[in-house]
Amino acid sequence: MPLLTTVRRPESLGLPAFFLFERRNIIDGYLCQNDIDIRYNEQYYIGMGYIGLRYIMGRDEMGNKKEILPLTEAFYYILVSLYAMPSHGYGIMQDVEKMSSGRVKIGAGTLYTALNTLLNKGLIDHYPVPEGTDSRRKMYAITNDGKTAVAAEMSRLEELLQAGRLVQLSIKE
Amino acid sequence: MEVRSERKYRLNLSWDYDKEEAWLNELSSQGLHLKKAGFLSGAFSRDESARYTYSLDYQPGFLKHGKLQEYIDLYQDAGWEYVCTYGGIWHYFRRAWQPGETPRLYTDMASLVTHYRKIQRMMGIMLLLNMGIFLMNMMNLLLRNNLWTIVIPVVGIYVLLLGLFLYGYVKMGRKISKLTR
Repeated sequence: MPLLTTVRRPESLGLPAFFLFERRNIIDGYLCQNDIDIRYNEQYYIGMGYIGLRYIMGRDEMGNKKEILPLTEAFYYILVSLYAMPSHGYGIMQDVEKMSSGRVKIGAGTLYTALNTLLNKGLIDHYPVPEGTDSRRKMYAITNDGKTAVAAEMSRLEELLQAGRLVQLSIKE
Repeated sequence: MEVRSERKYRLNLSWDYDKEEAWLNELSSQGLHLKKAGFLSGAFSRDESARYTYSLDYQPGFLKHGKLQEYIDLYQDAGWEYVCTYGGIWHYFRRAWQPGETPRLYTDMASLVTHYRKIQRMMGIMLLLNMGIFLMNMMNLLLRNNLWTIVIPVVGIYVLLLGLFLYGYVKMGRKISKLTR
């Protein structure tokens, strides 16, 4: 799915022109150069300065601009769990295990990085911890973007299921 | 009960962290449990009655963001005890050993690949950074004098250092392609 992006010029980051870089966009297979907002499928950053900069500044961690769909099982279940109600990490882990009848167990590292990725992409947000509960545990809630992502994933899964079922039915007849 | 601290030596390299885990687990099965990790050695305590499974996690940036406690709490909720950190970027966790169980921090391929990529990226940063420092040092040395007795050892050290980071970068790349193939 193509997405809209803005090009960051070195000046806008408060950097000297030394960091000037070139960005090329591939649109439907054609290679072109542009520095205005553009729809693109893939992008290549050329120039050591910018590559180094990307590394050092830690931007686009885990591909901030990259599409998150299709969701992995872990991402999907985390979002579905938060769709039901805001929760903390431990609650999500238990919830997912229950929803999948024990099949999907999300490890601590997987959950921690997934929560950070979802926060960065704006699919979930921090949620104020209700008074009287354990304030040590950070809580999370799904955002509208998160709900949209779940809906999109569900229709994709539905399509897959339908296609499979149709074939099964046609063979039985 | 008397707790003795013992030292064990091993060259711990980031791209072989799974081998380090295996080493720690092996020692733990012999009653030696890691207390403090280091680059060349680790401090262990002896307790024959316990056995743990160790896991290492690469998570940089806590010094900057100050979210270390939140991170430790989440892992603790999942049953992991925080042991120690190495340089604030590698974090050591452990849980009581259970027969026939291999608990993992990263339970799916996608998140494990993301973890490997982060380690690989660190190698890349170190490589670029040291390359820059190396070039600046060389310019300095070559422009100012012709002291080859200094230049040759400096080149030697940097070639070793850069080679090490390059090796780590390639090694992580291989791990990633092995998973995603």
